Amino acid sequence: MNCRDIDEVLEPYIRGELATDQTRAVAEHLTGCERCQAAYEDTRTLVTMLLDAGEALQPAASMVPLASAPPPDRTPIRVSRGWIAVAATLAALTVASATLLTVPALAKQVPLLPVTREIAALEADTAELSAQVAELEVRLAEVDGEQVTLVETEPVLDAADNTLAQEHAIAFVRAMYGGDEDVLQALATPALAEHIAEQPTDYLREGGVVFAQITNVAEHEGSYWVFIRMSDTVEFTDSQFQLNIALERDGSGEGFLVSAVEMDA
Amino acid sequence: MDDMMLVQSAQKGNERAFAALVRRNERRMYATAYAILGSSWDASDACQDAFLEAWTKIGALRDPSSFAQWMARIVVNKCHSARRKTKRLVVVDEVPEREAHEVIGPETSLVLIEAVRRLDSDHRAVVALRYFADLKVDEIAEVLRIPAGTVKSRINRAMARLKELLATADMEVSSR
Repeated sequence: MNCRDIDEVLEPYIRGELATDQTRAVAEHLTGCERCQAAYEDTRTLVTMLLDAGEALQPAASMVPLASAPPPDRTPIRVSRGWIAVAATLAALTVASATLLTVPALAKQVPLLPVTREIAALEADTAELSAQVAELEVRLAEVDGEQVTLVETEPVLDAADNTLAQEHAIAFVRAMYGGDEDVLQALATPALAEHIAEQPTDYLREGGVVFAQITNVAEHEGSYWVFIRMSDTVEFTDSQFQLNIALERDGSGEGFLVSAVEMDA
Repeated sequence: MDDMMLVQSAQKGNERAFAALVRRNERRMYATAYAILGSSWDASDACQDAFLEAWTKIGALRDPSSFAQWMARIVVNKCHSARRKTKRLVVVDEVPEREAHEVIGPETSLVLIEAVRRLDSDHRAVVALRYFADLKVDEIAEVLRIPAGTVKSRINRAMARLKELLATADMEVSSR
């Protein structure tokens, strides 16, 4: 091994990830080369400091999800997700309920007690959150002959157009995975059809696909969007991704055409 | 109890086991996201999303010993999503705000993290996964879906660049 070879393998050598014979060769070189010994010391120090740095920052907000949320002994300093608010409310309600148990049947008889007002406020919050959860309830529905999970969001189209747009998007996805370029072009706007003709491999996929979930149609800057959760296989959950299908009204104004496709995590 | 046993227990629905797993891994995952995204609040959101997704899907993790790699992949995916969303945002005003973390390590760690954030995005990702998420080269290659040889060369280039940055930061790498 020469000095240039050593430069290439110093890092895995320090991490203990080289094969035995390579490790021996590096060690032998280092004993007789001052230049590489200095490089080794620098790199070893940097490696140690980098590994330490990975533990140097403690997130202020708890990373434990709702279902596993501990008592709120570390109050998040910024509530950035709905489930943190839900967790905090439920935890506070639990504490309030425990207080009530120690003062049997007292709170509701004495409306001026601060705890009573707090309970009333928490009950109102809980009712509101329950209503929000009910609105987001996941339901199964049949779209284009397939059982899919529907997450109801605020619709921007009437029910018939909403279904039509979803069916159009799913037909497009079917053609992507069925390798049917002609159908893809037929379902697309002229501009997208032209791009499909130029770059068919950007749109045609191999292998099967599972639809996991489809949203109602959303509207953004004049386009309609359908978001479809996908998986290339039912075996690996981390194979999941999302297709964002943009649609525009066709010339007749009654149907839709796909104007863009985005892949999302 | 090691991570593998916690994973197996969490897969059976033990919430406490999963909470323990989160607490064991949250600092490294957060540092990884922070290095990739450059914003502490975006990193915090990405990690919260990632751990929530991990909790809902942990039952399907086939190899409990690969939890760290699996978790890192979810975090990286969330970071990519966050970056796409950020691109669509138009910033109308920048309001200075406190960071979404407390510093519990030495000053040298902060200097290093800052140096990592100044690498280009490809090098930031491999360094974050290599050192903050503590993954092996092959594991990083799988997470980023790039060849192992590319990971190795990026690590070497990133290490050289970090030494340069630290030298200009007037910080002796060889003395701790």
